[in-house]
Amino acid sequence: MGRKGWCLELQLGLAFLAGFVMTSGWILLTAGPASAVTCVDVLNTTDEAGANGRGNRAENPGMHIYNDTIECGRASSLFVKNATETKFVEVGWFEDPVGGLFDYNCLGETTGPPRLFAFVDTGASRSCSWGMELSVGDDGFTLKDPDQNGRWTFGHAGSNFYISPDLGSFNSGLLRTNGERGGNGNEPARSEFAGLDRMDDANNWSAWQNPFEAWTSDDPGFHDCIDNGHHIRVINDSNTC
Amino acid sequence: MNIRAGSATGRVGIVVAALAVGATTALLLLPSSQKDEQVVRRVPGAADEEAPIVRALDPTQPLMPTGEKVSLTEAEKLLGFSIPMPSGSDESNQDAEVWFSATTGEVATRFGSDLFIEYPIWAPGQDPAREYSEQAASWNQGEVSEISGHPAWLIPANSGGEGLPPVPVVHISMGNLDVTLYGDMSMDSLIGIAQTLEPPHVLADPGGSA
Repeated sequence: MGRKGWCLELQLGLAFLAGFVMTSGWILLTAGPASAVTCVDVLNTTDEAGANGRGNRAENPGMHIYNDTIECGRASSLFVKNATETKFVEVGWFEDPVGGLFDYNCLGETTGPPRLFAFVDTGASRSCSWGMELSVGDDGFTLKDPDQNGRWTFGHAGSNFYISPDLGSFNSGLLRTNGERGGNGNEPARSEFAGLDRMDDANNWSAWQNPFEAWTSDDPGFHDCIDNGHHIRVINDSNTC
Repeated sequence: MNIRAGSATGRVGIVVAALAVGATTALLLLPSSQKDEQVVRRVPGAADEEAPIVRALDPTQPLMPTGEKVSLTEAEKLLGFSIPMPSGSDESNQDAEVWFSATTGEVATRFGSDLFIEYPIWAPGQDPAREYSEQAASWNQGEVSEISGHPAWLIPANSGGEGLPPVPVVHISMGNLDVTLYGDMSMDSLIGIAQTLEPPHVLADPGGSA
């Protein structure tokens, strides 16, 4: 091998090394330090109306829809549950970009903005509907069984979008709000419900009365604000109610 | 383009190609993302991380998270009718927990970690036998039957998927009640307990002293 050939090989080796080092450096710089996203510790805050009902809604203006940057999962919803909590119906919005966190073997993985969902759980079976993309803002959400036949009607923005399978004698129950996140510690847990109403035995809507905190995971960084029967928020600890 | 290894242009071309090969090697060897994602599934509907039926079978947990424990006599006075309780079995009504929700008026009973019973009330106009048939068809689950002449719906464990339900469930309609038994036992044993339930009767003086 002559001097020329040795020189070319050296040049090639140095070029390969330079390409490798520059590209590796670029990847590491843009990706930042290695981080493990562990989507555990589902945290939620649930408030309950002081009276039961055959319907639950947030309307005028409604439940706020956020579109925060998240890594794991988010949900904000309204429930009607029986007292042992073995049965429930739920309506609201959710995001589950990693999939599997909020799927219940029914809902799916999401991309982009929050999605509308309806969910039914009898303790023995589940049913759901989901998918519509929602924009940031306050939308009306409704759950009701005015016919008392165990078939719950789910509404969003003034239109019904789902009717549940037959839930038999479960046709009224505890009325709840739910702000929830599937956390790695960085999910924003805020939620807001304005215009909370219950449907009474005469199928009339009236404001929630005497709500109280039914459950909290003591979500670090967030706290519950029950402003009045009509207005409930989960906000950052740095803000006062 | 005709590249000759000996020419300056050719050398530059080869060096650029070597740079590209190095960069590609780096891209292949390093992961495109430094994230290592791990997902833990949420238990649906649970206030905590436990399935509600499993929690309800745990005597260390409240049977009604926002309800209260009362005596059987107190519960019957509040409802105005007798509550169907198992008899002639191993279940001891003496040790039964009775829970009441002042918000919904619902009652439920629990017998250790083996059994709990809900007593929801049918809405006026609901026909229990038809309701059970419609629910069984609607959910494609369980078997409609009769227990001691009462309409019943039997739902085996895991018949709706893994853990749905986690234990056998028996619905039996008595009076205006959809009595619902959840038992950590075989379906036959649960049916055996359902057979011992006394139908409810209106109390003559629900407000009076026990």
